[in-house]
Amino acid sequence: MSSVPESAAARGGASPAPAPRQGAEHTASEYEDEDLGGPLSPLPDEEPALPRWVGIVTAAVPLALGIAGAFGAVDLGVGSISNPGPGLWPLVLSAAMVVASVALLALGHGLHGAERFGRGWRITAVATLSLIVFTYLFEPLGFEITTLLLMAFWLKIIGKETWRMTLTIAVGTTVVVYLVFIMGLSVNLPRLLFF
Amino acid sequence: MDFLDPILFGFGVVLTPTNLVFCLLGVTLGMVIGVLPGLGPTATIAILLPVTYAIPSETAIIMLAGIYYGAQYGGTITSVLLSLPGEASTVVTTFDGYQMARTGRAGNALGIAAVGSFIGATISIVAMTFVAPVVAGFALDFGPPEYTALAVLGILLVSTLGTGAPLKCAIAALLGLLLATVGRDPIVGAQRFTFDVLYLTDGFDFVPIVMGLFGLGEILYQLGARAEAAVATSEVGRAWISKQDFRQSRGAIARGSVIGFFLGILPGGGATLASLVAYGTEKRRSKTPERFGKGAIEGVAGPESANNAAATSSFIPLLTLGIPANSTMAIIFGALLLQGISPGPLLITNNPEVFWGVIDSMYIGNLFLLILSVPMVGLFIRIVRVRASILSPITVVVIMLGVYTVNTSFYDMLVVIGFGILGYLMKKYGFEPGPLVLAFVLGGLLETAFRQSLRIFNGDLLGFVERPISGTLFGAVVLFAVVLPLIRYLRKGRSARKARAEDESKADVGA
Repeated sequence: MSSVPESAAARGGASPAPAPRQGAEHTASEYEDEDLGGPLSPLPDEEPALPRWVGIVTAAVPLALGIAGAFGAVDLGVGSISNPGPGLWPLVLSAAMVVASVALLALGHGLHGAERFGRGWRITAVATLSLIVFTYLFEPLGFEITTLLLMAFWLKIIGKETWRMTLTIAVGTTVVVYLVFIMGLSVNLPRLLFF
Repeated sequence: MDFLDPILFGFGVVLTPTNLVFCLLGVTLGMVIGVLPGLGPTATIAILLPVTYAIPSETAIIMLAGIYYGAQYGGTITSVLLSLPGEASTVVTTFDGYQMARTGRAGNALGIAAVGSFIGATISIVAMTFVAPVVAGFALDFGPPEYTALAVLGILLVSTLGTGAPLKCAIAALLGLLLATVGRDPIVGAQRFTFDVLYLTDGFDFVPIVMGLFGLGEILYQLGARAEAAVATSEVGRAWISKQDFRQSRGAIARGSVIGFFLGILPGGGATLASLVAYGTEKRRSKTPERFGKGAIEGVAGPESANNAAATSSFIPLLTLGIPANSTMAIIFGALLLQGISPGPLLITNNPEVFWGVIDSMYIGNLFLLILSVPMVGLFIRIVRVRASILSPITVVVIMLGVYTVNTSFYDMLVVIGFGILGYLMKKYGFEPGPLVLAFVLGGLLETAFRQSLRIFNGDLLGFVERPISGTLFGAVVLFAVVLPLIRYLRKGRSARKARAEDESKADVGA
């Protein structure tokens, strides 16, 4: 159906998508087996430990943020402690951020609670991309077509539902949205049909 | 009696047809999302924020509150039947509840859970009805230094008592506080960290951030991690309670209710911790602890009473001090702010319809839930079968369209996506989004209070310690931020050596 252009766009752009640091966890060959992983493919059961550098990066990102924040705060003007300027509070926070990140680094707790990306990240990346496309088409095309397309894409391509299910749920949701948002709450949504 | 008047006034608020309908809507929705593993009450409340613009404030909060405590009932059902906890706070229910279901006593487990939940919640509401006004009265004297201390303590407790690694939670909270500084300076009015972007002039909006972090982030996370669990429900038509069951679990329900009430008030405590502590207590007190984990009814009754009591009492700090005790309360805090109401000690006098309306709605809501979860439990069991591949697109559409309607803003949609990605990455790297949102909500209040305090003290930081209340609170901050982690760190070293020596100990509550 009409989900073709959107899905093509999403697939084409899947590799530079915001999915982070994928290189670390898998060898390239693992990605070649099939297209999107699919919702029905569970993650591998035994997951090898994350490499140590991931933990270091996990602490380095907030550290960099804290340092940048501190410079920004000083630029804003710290003022004095009895008469604080706009930068004092951000400076306090940035300093605390630096301390916490360094502690995270020093204690080597960067990996606490972290998970491997598995192959699931690709579905997430494609899904995110479809939302960005949706957002940019939303105002020019109106909510009807875009909602229908987004639903169809998520149900059929990401969710691997049957066409029948896809059509029923996609059309049903769009109609309910119309009834609730436009008729019920009379909210402003960009739309094609004005009646 | 004078003091019954406001309580009766609250019932007057709840018993209007609109509020009754929204209360029923809220608790039913709560049951449904509680049954569905995945989307929790926090995400649901976040997603429904745009709806609250369209309805009066007390109605909105009554509905959102209903979702929260309704989810505690719903989460039980899947814990018992499938050993799949719908909510974190019902994880312990799986230990004995699922064992009961396997031996054909699912109905008994669900029955006692529902009754325990109802009693726990009711005890907690009654206690709250009397305690909340007292706390609010006490807090009237609080000035900026006390609020600084209280906000710091609240954020700290949520970070350290939460489920994640404390340092990572602290970093998440600091990020939330920094995000709150974006936009206009609250006192001088200077632009901060806006990078000349017009959208950021007034800072980040609460709604897209929460919807992104909790709603979209959760969905993106589950898309990647979705391992379809085989759903095979044991057939249970209805729940029932026998006299024998009730006699056996009476004590557990009473103890669970009290534990839940107190732990719920504690910032960061909430329902999950309460259910764990209640389970531990029952096991320790029991003359036959070996039955636990094999279908002991007290192991269901205690934690279930506790998590509902805690869900109820966690409203106390929000409604009386204006300090949310957990991330769900942070969102309800935000919802109140959106309505132009600032929760705090003045709420009870300025907006009695909200204060008493919400408290009294819980009496009614829990009655609804008792009805929903005893005779109608079979209906909810069927919901478990709805696939995530159908549910998540619907949720996504509700999020995207919902956030657009708030400001008719295309940029808000992009911000939701941005924070959705952030939420996903945070989860993947072991950072909890909860402390971030809580800190973001409290950020403005905390900075203003901090800077006002500095002016009051004329720059003397010791002033925070010299005032009795803020001094005590800061003492607690030091206790939780420095002393306790140190003790835990030292103990861990020792217990690691000990564990090697004496092998397995008995304290395996988490097993």
